[in-house]
Amino acid sequence: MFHRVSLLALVTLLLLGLSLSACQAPTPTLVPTQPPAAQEAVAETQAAPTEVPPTEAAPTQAPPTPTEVEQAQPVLTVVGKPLTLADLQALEQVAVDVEGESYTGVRFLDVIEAGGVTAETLIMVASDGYSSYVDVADLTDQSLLAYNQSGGVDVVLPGASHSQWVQDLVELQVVAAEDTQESASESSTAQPEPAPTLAGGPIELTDSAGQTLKLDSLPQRIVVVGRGPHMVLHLLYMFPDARERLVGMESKSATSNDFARVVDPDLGDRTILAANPGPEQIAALNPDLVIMRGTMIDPMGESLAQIDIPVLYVWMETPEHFIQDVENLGAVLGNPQRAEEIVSYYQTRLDRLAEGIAGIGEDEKSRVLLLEYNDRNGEVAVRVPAKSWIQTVEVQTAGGAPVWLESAAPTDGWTVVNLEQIAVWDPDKIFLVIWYTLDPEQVLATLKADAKWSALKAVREDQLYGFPTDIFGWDSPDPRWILGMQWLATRIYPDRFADLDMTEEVYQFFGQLYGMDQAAIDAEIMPKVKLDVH
Amino acid sequence: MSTSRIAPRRGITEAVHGAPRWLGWLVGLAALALLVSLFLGRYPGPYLTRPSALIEDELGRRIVLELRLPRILAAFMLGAVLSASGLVFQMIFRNPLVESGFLGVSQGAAFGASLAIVALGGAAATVQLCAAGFAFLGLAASYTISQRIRYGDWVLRLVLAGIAISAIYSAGTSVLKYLADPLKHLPDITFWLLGGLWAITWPDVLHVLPVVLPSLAVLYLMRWRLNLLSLQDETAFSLGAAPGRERLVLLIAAVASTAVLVSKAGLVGWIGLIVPHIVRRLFGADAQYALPGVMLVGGLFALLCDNVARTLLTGEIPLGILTSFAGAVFFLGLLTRAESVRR
Repeated sequence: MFHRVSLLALVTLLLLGLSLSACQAPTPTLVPTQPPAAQEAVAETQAAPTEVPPTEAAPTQAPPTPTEVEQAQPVLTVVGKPLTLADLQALEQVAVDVEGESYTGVRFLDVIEAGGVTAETLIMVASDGYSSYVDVADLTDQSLLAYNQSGGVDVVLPGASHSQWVQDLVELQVVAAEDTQESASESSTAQPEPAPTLAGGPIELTDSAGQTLKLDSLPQRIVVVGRGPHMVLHLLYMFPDARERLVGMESKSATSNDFARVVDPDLGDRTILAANPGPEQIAALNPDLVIMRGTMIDPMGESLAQIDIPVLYVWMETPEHFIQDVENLGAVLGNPQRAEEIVSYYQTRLDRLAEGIAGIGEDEKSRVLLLEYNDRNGEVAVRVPAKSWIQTVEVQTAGGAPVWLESAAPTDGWTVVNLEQIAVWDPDKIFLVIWYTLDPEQVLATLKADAKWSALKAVREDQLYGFPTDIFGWDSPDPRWILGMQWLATRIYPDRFADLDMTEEVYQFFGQLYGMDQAAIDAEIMPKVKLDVH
Repeated sequence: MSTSRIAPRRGITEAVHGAPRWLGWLVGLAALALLVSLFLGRYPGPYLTRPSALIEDELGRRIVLELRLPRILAAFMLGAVLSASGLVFQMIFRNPLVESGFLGVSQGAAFGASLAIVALGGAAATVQLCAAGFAFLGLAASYTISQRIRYGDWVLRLVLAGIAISAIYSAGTSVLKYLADPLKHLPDITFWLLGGLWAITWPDVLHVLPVVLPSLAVLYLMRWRLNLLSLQDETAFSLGAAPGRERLVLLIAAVASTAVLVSKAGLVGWIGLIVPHIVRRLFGADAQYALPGVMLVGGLFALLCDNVARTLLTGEIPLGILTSFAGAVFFLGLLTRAESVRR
């Protein structure tokens, strides 16, 4: 027989347990301590399948300091040794035809020999600070340093990705080889310090999640996961150093690496994780830094902290966040100079936009509606972006007044709006972010033919536009937001931004930020860019 | 006289004779599965981890001890608790179609956790307490309302009340999502609602243990009464049970353990519905054996599903997909096979 007393006792026990669990001390602090040596050593003994050729950058980023200036200025510094144009002309002169273009210059291999270089991998630094890597073993007799118009030399690498064709090469640097024989038993003090950049002590920074990240050495094995991993990758690829250190990434869909294929010749060597990897799947790549998007430390970050894998959060949803993200990446990649260049690229353009819209009063602003347009099996949905999202920020920075903030104020995600509400807003301009599987021209034609849509002021006045994309959309929290913002400005205030040539901006963007030359941009990017769908 | 006489369909001889031996085997199998699971994973290579590798490999050792072990325990507990509460609900409500996601319990826990994240700072302990609190509240509300409904028998009334309470809670959760700060709170809620066991670490396990162990102990010790409670109230009363009070104790134990686990693992469906049916097929309906049976089978089932979820691909497979798919297929197979044997 079951007694009342034992019943009571059990209930009390239960409640006691519940309160005990509630009173448990908060989760142990998750300070990412840092024994990368241990992890690295582990990687060695485990022979993890994803091991990359262990190289590490020797980022001596100081400008070339020619010591001897004779009759001519040196055009190129080869591992500290300056070479003048006369020195180059003293080598055998060759001409090579690549993809219909003819180049004249000297063989890359001859220059390396003249510089007395024995390294296996070189960093090619351009006059604008862009740099890229080249394996000496990959060079052939067809690899040239071709003379260019400005009296310098351009790198010509037939067969290699155009991102490696560094224009106006000023310096060749050596990549220090890591001691691959390091034994597993060595303690963390034996960790080969990756270098001069750490002379100032460990890296310490605050990221978009507000956490303080401390790193004792430059991360050498970076993995990108989380939501929108391709957008984080696009940010990372702006740093040439990242290509050496990226070991793997999560891929959400078949198309999410389309841009990476263009800018990353080594994509095939990287491990692609399926969607939603857990902490152990990530740990299997032996990362010493995981990068993901976020504004708070999430459970994944906490799990990774349990096994001492540090996480850097980036966000990119506002220009301020973006600049912080770029600076943080510059710090963890040991290349703050590159971060400065990128920031200055964005800042110049932001300043120009601010200048362009200066003096427009709040009530004079063009009333703008930005909509995401999706059509799944004939089920059309149009949605407005969240208040804090980059799409809204793009409209605001370009001087538009987002009508969707007037009444509804969605906090997260795309919120569906109906045509009735759109008619009430009756905006001056409508910009459609069209789902990538749809044909923008066809979508616009359909809407214009629709009696309901064609009654809207924006449609009557031919102010309905398709938002441009290249391989990826310009509206997203991706480095491309600056292009989207500039383009919006030219469409909202054509008079004020008459001098802003978007085609030229596209060349600049992919040229300066990703090191692509004109030929590559023409081949890969331009065919997909439709600036004027309306 | 044994209470197992009430076991329907399977006769007493059939169910009881084999059951203790079966239980013994299950305990052994569970212990073996827990052990083997420790050596399944993605690090350093996919699938089996050589034990020798762990001796030299510090990171590997830490992954096994600090990620895999707590996760394995959590998976087993999750399965055991969901199945045991599923059985308790099915027996008490004499309704074979109910589980923990019933009575506003899961939705109450979801609402409570969201509320804690948005309004109360979102510390781990607050989230848990709040989730458990609202799960209880959901149970209490369903229970009270069911007694005020003026038609149908009490099983039907309770089902109706549970559905209504769940709907109110899920609407409340949606409102909280809409109000949540998109940068500070929303990612947390979204994660929480999606669930999965990949984020489980030792602190999570230590948080749930003080609730789960006593709850399972209560259910285990009261399994004899469960048989009586599954009868009509009048019959149970005449057999010496105090149906109202005992029913409440069992429900509290089931709800408390479910709420705390769901607040760590998110909403994982179907285990609580399917496992009790499978076990009744194997052991008969007598709770004396069926209850330990569902705990073991449920634990094993969740553990196996989670092993697949974390090991098969380079990305996690959502646990809910695996549990419902594997569970339903196995269940269908068992049903049809049993039918053919009987013929």
